[in-house]
Amino acid sequence: MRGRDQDFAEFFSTRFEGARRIAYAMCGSWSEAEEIAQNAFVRVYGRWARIRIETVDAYLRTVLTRVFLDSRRRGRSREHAVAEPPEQAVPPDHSSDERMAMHAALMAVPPGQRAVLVLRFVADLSVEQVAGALGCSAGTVKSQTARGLATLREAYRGDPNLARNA
Amino acid sequence: MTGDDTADDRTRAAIRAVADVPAPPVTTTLDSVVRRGRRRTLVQRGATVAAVVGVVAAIGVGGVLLRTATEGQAGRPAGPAPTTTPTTTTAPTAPTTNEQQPPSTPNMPGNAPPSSRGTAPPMALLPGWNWVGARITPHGSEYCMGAPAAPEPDELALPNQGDVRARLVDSVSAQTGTEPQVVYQSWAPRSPKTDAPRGYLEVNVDMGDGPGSVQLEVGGFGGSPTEAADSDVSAYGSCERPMRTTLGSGAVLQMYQPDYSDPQAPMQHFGVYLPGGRHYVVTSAGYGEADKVDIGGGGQTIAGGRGRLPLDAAGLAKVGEALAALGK
Repeated sequence: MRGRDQDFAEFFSTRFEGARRIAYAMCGSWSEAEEIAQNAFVRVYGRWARIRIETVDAYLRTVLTRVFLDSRRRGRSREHAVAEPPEQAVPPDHSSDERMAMHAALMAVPPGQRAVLVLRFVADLSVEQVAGALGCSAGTVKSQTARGLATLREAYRGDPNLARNA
Repeated sequence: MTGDDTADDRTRAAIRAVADVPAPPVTTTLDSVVRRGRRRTLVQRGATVAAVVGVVAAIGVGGVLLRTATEGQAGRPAGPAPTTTPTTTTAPTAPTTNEQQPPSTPNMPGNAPPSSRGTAPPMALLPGWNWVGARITPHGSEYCMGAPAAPEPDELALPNQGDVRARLVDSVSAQTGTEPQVVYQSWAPRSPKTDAPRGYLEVNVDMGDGPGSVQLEVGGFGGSPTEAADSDVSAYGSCERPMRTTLGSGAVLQMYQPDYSDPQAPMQHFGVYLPGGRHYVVTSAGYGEADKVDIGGGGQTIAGGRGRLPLDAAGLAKVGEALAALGK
């Protein structure tokens, strides 16, 4: 065990990549995801000494989501119904085409609903955990999930079977 | 499996696949996050102080205007307008001392960066203690770091929770003359905060005008006690030297300068490094459970405080020595 900065360094090294990936699923851009994750960790650092150990991951998710939603409210990043393809580290193939189609469909979902979908299905959180992260009721999470999936279903045209199931 | 389950699973997999792609390298560094975090904290505190000063000034001016108006309505003889003395507020400060001051980081290359730890005077050297001579390295203009990190500690199972709790409560009670209340305890075989076994205890003590707290973290360290203490010489970011003593058992005790950067909620840390690799960190804090406010998502902030510490340096050292005597 080490001092505060060492503890935070450990937390940063083990959590940053995951946080960036969740942010990427929310915003659709690796560069913006990096910025969102960085801003979230800056805020967490400011309160590090006062965050209880059991809640530090939940707190990070809350801050990450708020940073993302704040960026959308400020209009800093204008949303497009069809997002630009993400940076690719491997040549696209058939599966990546499908992924990009789903990615574009996800970007068509309103930010609040999209955050719910990402927290539910990418971060794999329960309804109650998402409610805690967003500061809303479980009922709101369920309704936002349903609406988000409906929007996703409309937007996703690459796989009719998936679109029907979604 | 039901049809809904299948649909949900397919959707879940499809959405998850969006983020399951090779990512470009991370460009954010820990240093940049820490630097921005410290700057953000300072700006927020500055804004808070400015707001408090503004409110106090407004109340002062308003009071004078009201009194002037009242006096005028009472038909008092006209005369020169009353003069006012500006209202000022001062942050609480720790007791001053004439004892020996800590050296100004003699082996630090160049000038030390300014401390962000508030305006409290340096603590006095306790009898039998010495200022730590380990190298302190300024990191940018925001904080300092100690020696290179000691080797990673071996997994060290936590000591018995009841033994540690009893020792903490008894020693704090002996130093404060009050009966500490345990307000929080956690004994995690694997902490998400340190990715290692970590115990945590927090007791509140009555400070007369509200609670203060003594917090205890229990973990382990790698290397020798001295190596670990050298590595932690700036564990809390401060560039000010801690003081240190070594007990006959080989345990190294390290006391950090008090941190008054939040004047209402000061803190002071104390490290205990036992030869077997056990690490205790005792923190004396000028706030208690009643001062914590939930900010959502499981986070908390401190919305008040006593402006002073519940334990002085000597008392904090006694608590640390009591824990060191546990020997485990």
